[in-house]
Amino acid sequence: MVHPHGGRRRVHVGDLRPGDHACLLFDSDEERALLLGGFLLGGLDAKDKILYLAGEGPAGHDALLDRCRFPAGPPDLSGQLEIVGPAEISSGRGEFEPAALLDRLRAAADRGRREGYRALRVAADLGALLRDGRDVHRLLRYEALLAAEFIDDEALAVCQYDLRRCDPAALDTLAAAHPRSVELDPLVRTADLVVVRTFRPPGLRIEGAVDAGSHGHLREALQSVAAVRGDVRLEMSRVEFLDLGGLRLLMTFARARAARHYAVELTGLLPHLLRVITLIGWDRTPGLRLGAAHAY
Amino acid sequence: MPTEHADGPGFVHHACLYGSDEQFLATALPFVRDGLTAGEPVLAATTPANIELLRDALGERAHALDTAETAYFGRRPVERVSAFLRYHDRRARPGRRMRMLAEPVWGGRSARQIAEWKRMESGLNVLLAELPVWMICPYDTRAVSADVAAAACVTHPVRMDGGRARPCAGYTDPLAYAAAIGPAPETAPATAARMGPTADSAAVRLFARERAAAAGLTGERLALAEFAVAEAAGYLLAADGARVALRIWEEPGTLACELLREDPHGASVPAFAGFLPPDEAPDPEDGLWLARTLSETLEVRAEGDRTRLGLRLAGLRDAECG
Repeated sequence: MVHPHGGRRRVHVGDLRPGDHACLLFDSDEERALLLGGFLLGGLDAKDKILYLAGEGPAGHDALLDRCRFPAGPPDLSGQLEIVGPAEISSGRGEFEPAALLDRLRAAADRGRREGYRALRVAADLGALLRDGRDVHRLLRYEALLAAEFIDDEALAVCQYDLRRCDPAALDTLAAAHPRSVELDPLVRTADLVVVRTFRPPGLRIEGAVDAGSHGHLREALQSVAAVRGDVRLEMSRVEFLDLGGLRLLMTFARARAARHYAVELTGLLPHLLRVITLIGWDRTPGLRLGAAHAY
Repeated sequence: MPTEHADGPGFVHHACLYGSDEQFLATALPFVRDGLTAGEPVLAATTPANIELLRDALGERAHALDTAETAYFGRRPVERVSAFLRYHDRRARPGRRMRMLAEPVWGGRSARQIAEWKRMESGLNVLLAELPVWMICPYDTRAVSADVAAAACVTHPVRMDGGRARPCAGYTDPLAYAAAIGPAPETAPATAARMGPTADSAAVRLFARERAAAAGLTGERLALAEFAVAEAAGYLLAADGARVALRIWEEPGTLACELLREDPHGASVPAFAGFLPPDEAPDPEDGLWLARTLSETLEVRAEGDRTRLGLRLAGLRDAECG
């Protein structure tokens, strides 16, 4: 299947496996927190050694766990989670040394193996090194080394970069160094329907088929973005089938959002769905914005 | 049911059989003029020739008359009902009745289409019963068959001649009329592709998609065919424990599809199910409305303890939908 979002394939955080090298470009603290939480829980489940490379921000266990949003409270990761702080990431001269960091990762991987862990799971927050264009080449070198010499059947990594604080051109280059991008686990994942929370802008990506059997799932997924302050976008270019009941759920959602002066934008709708919406007159639903259609 | 007199609160449905321009104006002009004088919204959905007659006769007042060329004011009965409701929603004024001259186009229609329009004429008495609308349906006896003219007096409780209203002796209860009128849905030939019976709506939908694709439909038309069958099947499958069997075959110009549900409890299908468009509140018949709207024809029949639903979808050779 050709992916509409370019060459990098998406992977859900819960589906990460040893060998994966994925990036997260985020501009929402909520997205980062939820993803990091999922990453840590995944490590707990898989019995992976977890290494957090903190270029800045929380360098302590508790501070890191506080940053994540664990619905059931923070997990016990004592002994399993190691944090590498800014001082260890850069050398004594204040410069980032990719090879030195790789050595650090290798040592952690060896230690993890000895301790009986399945793999080394690396979460890297190195975006701070990109400020003012500093260290771009060194960071690229690090990503290349990571990909070529480190990521294997016993290691996986998620590299996080904050879109709000990094140079776009540098980010493009860095993102290209990752074969995959990571996103949250779907809110809904059945044989026919997948719904994923999205953040740029806030909303949902709906994929697959919505019929009478999945209205409940769609309703719950919509509920999960009901509290978003601002407009919500529902990306629908991979919706293969959406029945009238499903369309009605979207209209009801738009009307509820309109009452709070927010809009719901539907993008990527197949032309026949636009036609049905217009036939019924639902194109005049308050709060509804119909974005560009998707070709068959 | 509609009230017989125009001073009642609900829907009033009169027929007007005319054989000349003068006869048309004798009924239509006072009807329109009185409405405009009373400040009521008035719509004339009739032939361009009749609209011209009315405008000429109204003079300056013609500026206040809403008009629609009837052939485009809902091409098919299900669209016609939506057109009436849309006009009503757009122009209604609180506490005020509105008037509509609504002349169907009968010429050149197939037997199946004529039956469906007759069924709708009768069904309006039920479908619009609550609406504060006084509707007069002109029938041009120079143009319509004797059979269609006779049906006017069966589907309307009252006929108007000039300003005189007379009850139609032959007026028939719409539910009984609808059940009796028109050809029964054609049953599937032995060569039709078959599946089911099944309760699996996704399987029905995918089978319909596969057959529509095999018949050459692509893109939007394929998706709409799938949608129509899925919604029709969804209507039948909404009953507890229901299973449907699907038959699909090609006819010149159309893709015919038959859905059969065995109803052990004899669940009856309302005669005018699926003629009203979806409203803000969901209704079980919404899907049937969509299936009707997306099909060339859709016939629902209760046959003893079985429900038969026949759809005809525009086929590959239907250039109108191309």
